[in-house]
Amino acid sequence: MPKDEYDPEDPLEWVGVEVPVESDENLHEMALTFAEEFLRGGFSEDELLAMFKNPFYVGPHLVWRKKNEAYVRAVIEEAKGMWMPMRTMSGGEEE
Amino acid sequence: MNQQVYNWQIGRKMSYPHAEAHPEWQFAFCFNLNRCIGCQTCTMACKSTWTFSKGQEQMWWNNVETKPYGGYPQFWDVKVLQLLEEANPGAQKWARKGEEFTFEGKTIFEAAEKRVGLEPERVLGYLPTDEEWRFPNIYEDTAVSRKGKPMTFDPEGTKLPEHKTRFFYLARICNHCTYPGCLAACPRNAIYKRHEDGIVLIDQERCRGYRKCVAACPYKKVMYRPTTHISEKCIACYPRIEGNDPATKGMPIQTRCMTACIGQIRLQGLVRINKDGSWAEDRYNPLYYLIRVAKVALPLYPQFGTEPNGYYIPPRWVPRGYLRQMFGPGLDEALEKYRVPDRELLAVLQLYQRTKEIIVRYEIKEGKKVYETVIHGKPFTLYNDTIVGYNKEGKEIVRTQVEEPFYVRPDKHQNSI
Ligand code: SF4
Ligand code: SF4
Repeated sequence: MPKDEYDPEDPLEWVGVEVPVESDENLHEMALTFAEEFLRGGFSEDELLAMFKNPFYVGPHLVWRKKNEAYVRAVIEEAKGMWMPMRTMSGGEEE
Repeated sequence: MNQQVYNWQIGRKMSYPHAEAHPEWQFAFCFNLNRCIGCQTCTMACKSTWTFSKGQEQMWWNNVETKPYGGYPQFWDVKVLQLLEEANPGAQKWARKGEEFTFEGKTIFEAAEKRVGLEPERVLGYLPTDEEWRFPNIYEDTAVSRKGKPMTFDPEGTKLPEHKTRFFYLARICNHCTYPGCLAACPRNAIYKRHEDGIVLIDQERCRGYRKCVAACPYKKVMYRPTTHISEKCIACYPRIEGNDPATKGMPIQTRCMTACIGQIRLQGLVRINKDGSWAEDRYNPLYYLIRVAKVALPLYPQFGTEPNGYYIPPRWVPRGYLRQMFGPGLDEALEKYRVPDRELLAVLQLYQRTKEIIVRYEIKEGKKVYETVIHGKPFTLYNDTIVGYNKEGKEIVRTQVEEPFYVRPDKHQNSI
């Protein structure tokens, strides 16, 4: 690693650095992970949306700002489609 | 004179300053990084229990850092990786033979053997500077001051640059390694690994504060206390592991950082170890299952060679190359298993933070089929199985379901406990 790659005196060290591997695919996977984990944990769609909107939740909010509400809603729908199909079913059935 | 010891995480024998000697049980934990929200509750639980005294200000036995921007001490992992790369340029690689992986590069013990000309060292490492220890999490998420004005707050802080991408929070404590770097480096043999639970401790009476352990621990989990001139480290809340907390009537209880976890990312326990150091088969021990059967949880930087006993379910969205370097070649398999969990895995994941006591065995009682669906392109059936956890005495300590009932506390009880 070149010697000048980081500078301990620099207060902006690594801040605002764009990692070269950043991609839309990673952003989507991150948003989807949050949606899937929290849906499975019992969050409602509205609560999830509120989490993405809240600037204090840096990760989800980053997705919100980089994209838009429609994008976030689509991600939540995708997670719901996978993990909550029972929303449209009633009760359980015997194995 | 170094001995040959077997390290299962790197799939081969390696040299180590001491002969093999293994505990009966091993303290181990499994963190799910897909769930950590970086709230630092774990950090404060530890701090307020063990390191709140004079001379311990810079000590954070538990810390949570934002990867890849941060580290405590700053740049610890990048620096160790760099030292290893310099010692063995271009050859820190894994090789695959069939289903098994072998690390063909050099561990921190092997790389130290090559260092001729320098003061002889048993372990390759470095001593972090005071400044690197002093500011955990500084500038990890946001900038607060401008270039040229370190350690100040800029009134226009909100306009300073911010990260364009975010990786993940890495929660860390001492890994109570099978082959500890700290123990190997101590010239006074003041560090020992307990027979009963594999916890690694520093004998506070024998330690003379040479700080060889601080330099040798690749995870930088030994810290020097300037007021006493001796070193201290995470003690795995051993009175709790011994069952000395009156709450559990002699049964082992998980550490402070584990039981405080808000994100329910942590599961800690004890695994049974054979005389030769291998893990005794214990199919229904939740840690044995997650690490050795389902293989969804991986050691942190296994290539360092200490055989750490802290394991991680890697975060799904992070670039694979970065994660492979951090968690080794088992990465892709682990991530695939976690993305579309099977019936047993889904049930075992429910055990995270459902009880403070240590679960040594679980049992799954099959439940009704709830629905069929497709998860990430794969057909998936959800069953509402019940999972039961037992303590060391075989007593039931937790019972929960895959489809957990969800209750919302009415507003009028918001602040009551
Ligand atoms: S993580 Fe570091 S301090 Fe803990 S046992 Fe391993 S080498 Fe020692
Ligand atoms: S308490 Fe849990 S969720 Fe919060 S920072 Fe610690 S490990 Fe992460």
